[in-house]
Amino acid sequence: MSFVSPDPGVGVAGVAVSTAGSVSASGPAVAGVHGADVLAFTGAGPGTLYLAIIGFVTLIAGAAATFFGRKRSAVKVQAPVNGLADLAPLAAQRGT
Amino acid sequence: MMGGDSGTATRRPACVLIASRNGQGQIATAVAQARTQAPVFVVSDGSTDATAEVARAAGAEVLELDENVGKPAAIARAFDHFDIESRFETVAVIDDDTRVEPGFIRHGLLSMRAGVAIVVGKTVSDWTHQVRWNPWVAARAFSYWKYQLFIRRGQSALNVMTCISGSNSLYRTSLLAQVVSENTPYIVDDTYWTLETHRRKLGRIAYAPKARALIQDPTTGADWYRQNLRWLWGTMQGIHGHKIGRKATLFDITYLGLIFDWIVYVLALPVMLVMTFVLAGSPVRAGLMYLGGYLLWAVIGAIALRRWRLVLMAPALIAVDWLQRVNFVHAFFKTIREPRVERCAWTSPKRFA
Repeated sequence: MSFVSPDPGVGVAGVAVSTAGSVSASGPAVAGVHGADVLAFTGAGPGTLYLAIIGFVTLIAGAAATFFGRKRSAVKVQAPVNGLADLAPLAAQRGT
Repeated sequence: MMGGDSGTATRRPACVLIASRNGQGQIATAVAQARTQAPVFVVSDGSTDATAEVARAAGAEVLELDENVGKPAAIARAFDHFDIESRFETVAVIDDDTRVEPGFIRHGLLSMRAGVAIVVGKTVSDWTHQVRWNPWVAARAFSYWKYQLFIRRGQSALNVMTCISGSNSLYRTSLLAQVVSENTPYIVDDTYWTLETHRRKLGRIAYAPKARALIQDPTTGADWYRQNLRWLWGTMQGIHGHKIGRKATLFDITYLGLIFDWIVYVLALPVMLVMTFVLAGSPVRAGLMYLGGYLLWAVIGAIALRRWRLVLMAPALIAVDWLQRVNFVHAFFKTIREPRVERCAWTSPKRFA
């Protein structure tokens, strides 16, 4: 029999931490098979839940940057930064 | 601080530099593919086969070294010998088994905006018909796709890229002149170049997914393990040698986040998995969920890569994944024993084409 806390606690990558400070991988309300669910869908290779979240956020950020920045950045030659000139115009040269 | 790009009006946009040791079997293809986009230079690193002759016949200018000095030293010597910095704005350093796709240089240059020092191309596994059912190649193809989609894009946006592609990246020649060294202290040369670029604030490192290149991956378990071990060992040498995490920079903070993820991956997930199987009371369901998770990833990867057989090879992904955890631990202890190398040289996996 397991005690179910009224406070769900915090779960990160399948590790559930209750407000009482204990860490558990068992018990249906805290982790248990629910933990396996998280593991199963995030555990393929280095790139776990943490990376999936980062990846999702960066995908959205990338899509937004593409949507809002495409026309302006494509045509304007940028001023040098840190002594490094914008070489994008060279891409138009023959042979590249 | 770097000296900047003086003399840009007289230099050509780009060239390609390939270091090869006994690469007669694949160097012709690498040169031929690259030559349509830029002049190609090859340095034969003490080859005992016909690498130099084959590369020359394919249209490259060739420097032959009598002794095997290792890739970074060979690159450094060729960089000076061909006077690349004064002749070209950028140089793509690729491997002798790399097949750059059309537009690789053009897309690389398009991403070489003001302030960018290195453009990292997209690595695609050369998953040919010959190796279509090879689990090592399949696992690599899957991990390249996942890594570049979930990590590299985000790292590029934040300029915190921890790892570049030694087989398909484009460098400003003024940058490479500062970081290339005959005495690279880590077993992965491009790890050293990456960390030096960040440490010395030499410029941004950007990812250009449209600059695609096909590379050959190991086809045997032994080759896969050795190559993976070298990569991880070099990475950990870099973390140790460059004292990653001891400064309050965005690069250090995000790198610590990545290290945390590795720890979770290597240690926490197996522990949790075992506990789940033992304590959950429904190990069959837990096992099915575990397999199902990989299958789902394999399906997504198969769609993205347009390789349906990846779905059938999902169990191989699990096996490779566990072997990779062993690899991580092995690399960790190897780094403790050998935090630096005297000579940055290695033997490449056997090529299949």
